[in-house]
Amino acid sequence: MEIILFELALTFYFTATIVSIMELFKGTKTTSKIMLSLSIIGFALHTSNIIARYVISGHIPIANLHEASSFFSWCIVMLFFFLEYRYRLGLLGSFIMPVVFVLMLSSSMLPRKIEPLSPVLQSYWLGIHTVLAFVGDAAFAMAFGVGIMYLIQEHYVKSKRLGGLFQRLPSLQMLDEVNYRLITIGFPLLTLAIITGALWAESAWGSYWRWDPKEVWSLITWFIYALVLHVRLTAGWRGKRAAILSIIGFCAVLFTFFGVNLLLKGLHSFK
Amino acid sequence: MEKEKNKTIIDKVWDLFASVRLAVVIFSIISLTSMIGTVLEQNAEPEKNIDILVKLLGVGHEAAHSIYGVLDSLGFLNMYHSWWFVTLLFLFASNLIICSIDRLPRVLKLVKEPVRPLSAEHLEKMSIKKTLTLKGKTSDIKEAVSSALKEIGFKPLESSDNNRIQFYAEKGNFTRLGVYITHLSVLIIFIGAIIGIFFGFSAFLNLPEGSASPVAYKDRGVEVPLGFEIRCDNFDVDYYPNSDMPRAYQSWLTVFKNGKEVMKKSIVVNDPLTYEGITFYQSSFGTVPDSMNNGIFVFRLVSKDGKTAEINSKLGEKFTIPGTSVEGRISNFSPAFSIDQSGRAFTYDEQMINPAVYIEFSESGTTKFSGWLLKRYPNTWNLPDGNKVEFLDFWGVQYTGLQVRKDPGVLIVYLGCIIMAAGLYITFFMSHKRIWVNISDEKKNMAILIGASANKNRVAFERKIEKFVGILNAGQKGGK
Repeated sequence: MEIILFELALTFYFTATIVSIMELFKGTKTTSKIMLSLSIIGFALHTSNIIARYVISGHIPIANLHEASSFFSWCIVMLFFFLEYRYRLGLLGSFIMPVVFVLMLSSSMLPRKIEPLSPVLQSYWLGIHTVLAFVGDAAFAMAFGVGIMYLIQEHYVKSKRLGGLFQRLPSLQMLDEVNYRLITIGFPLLTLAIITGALWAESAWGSYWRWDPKEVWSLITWFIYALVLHVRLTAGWRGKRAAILSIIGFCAVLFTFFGVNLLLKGLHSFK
Repeated sequence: MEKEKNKTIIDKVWDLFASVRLAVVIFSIISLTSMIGTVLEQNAEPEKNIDILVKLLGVGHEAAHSIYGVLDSLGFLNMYHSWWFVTLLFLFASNLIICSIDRLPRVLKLVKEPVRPLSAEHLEKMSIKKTLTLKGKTSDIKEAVSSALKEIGFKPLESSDNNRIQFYAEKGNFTRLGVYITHLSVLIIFIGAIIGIFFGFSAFLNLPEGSASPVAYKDRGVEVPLGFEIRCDNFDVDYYPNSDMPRAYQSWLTVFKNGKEVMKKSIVVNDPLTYEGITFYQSSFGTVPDSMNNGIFVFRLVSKDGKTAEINSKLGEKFTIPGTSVEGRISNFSPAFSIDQSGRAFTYDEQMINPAVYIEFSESGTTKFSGWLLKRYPNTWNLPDGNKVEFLDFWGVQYTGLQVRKDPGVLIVYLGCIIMAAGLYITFFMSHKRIWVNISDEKKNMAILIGASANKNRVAFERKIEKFVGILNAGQKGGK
């Protein structure tokens, strides 16, 4: 049952992604409405899948890479709806839904078996720590999408091609502002995730910091975004440079999430 | 240019450490070197990392060996504790301190400076500006403006000259210190960590069931005296049904100080025991080598008619079911019992994953039956004649692996974390807001000019101003 819900959610996200990409070439109000409706249906199915897994396993479904990746996409979609409602950034979906789809696709290719929790994971920190981390990461994912939009829009402005996409993309100023806002949300959440992780590690392993690859990579990510904020506020690195840095930052987020689990050894491996 | 020349070296160094440029360089170097540290396995056997180098760089084993030598001499194999990485962290801290000291006096001066009345020309140029006209007596309007300001959370001050009255107020003045609070928190965490390194230790202790130890062991077997004794009374693993995945493992520990029992606690992962600042964490477990023959079986014997007895027994020994003449002899044991396809019993692991005991039963000298009793499967405890042997424990063969830690700095680190969370909240979610409201008498009407500014999140503040205007307008309608 929950697998069917997942497959259906994936399918709806996939069609939403296709429509969102078509929208880049020829978009009308109708296509954007279709895209949004498809995402909403996908999100509803996805939510049911997460609830179902929660009911079956009795813990927040975030205990293996399949669940974590799926939950990560869920957070991004939720934040996308929020931004859509709050700022109405034109074409945002075209840059976010592909990210969501890729994450869901990788989730679908990972083992889906509901595993019992190992003793270390049996802690209330599991929910707190991971939710903080993923909502923060979702904000960084949005900043990444908005950063790419900025670079494209800037390309149009620079080359003075002021038709088509230029008209439909939000203004550079708006994109820069939203990008900054997202990082100011993501950064404190990432900080809290690292702090709660440290508290958890202290109670489980007897050390709040062990230079484990996951810890180090989240610190690297933290440094990158700290850098983004510092150069923005003191050296005035806005616009293009901020956009590029937010793209680099998201690469670090992805590596912290996938790379460390799949390539490097450490305590955070799910078993 | 002239100024630059007059600077002493100290000034130049100060300027360097006060610069964000240095911060950017340090952030980048720490990040880049840290990446290398995650690829190479830290504190591992040389062969492991040589293999990693061979795979990663595509070089031969010889070349990997010499690269390993270079990396080793540069400290990359225990990188996060190497002199140069610690130096980087200290540079980071110095940068943070000096850059904060350099900027703080200016910011403090700004924060202390109270908001002042401004001229109408100034207000016209503010980033948030609103005008409206109201009808009514001066005193009523004054009252309305003042109370509306209070309603949106300001404490207004008043100034007046000629026919112009101005209310002005500010809020969140201190929020400009948020950045420095955050910087301070990083330093507090550093201080906590340093205290932990100098006054704490991290050690390990494998404690077999029934034994006690006055020491724990650091790397390379260096003993650390605890100042008391710790004993493992019992250890047990609980597995998920039909799986070899542990659900929980638990140690029952007792602390002795000067020979007297002072504390007793059972610990599990995520719930340690702390005594005199030293904390014992459930970390691992295992089987003591060559201990099977001395292990003690704990059985509860239940006869057909309900008589019970709890007994301790060893391999090769005999026991009798209470109230009967049924005798059991423990003839074999398997720590990890399984049955292969042809029905033969075999042991699949040295660890006590699925302990099973083979008992031969006899009554007045004649063999009745025999079979395997499995600790994890109570349905194997029932005997064909209605009696029952409950397999409770096989004691004295497992050890509990304890992580032993003393860290007097940990509370300081937590304090730093809390301050950091508060600092970030202030920095990113609170803003310094100022508002000026001019009331000038223009014959029949009162002209209201609002000027306001916020250093962050202006949109939200603008909404608040809208609300303020709304309150004033609503007051007008109500007054009619």
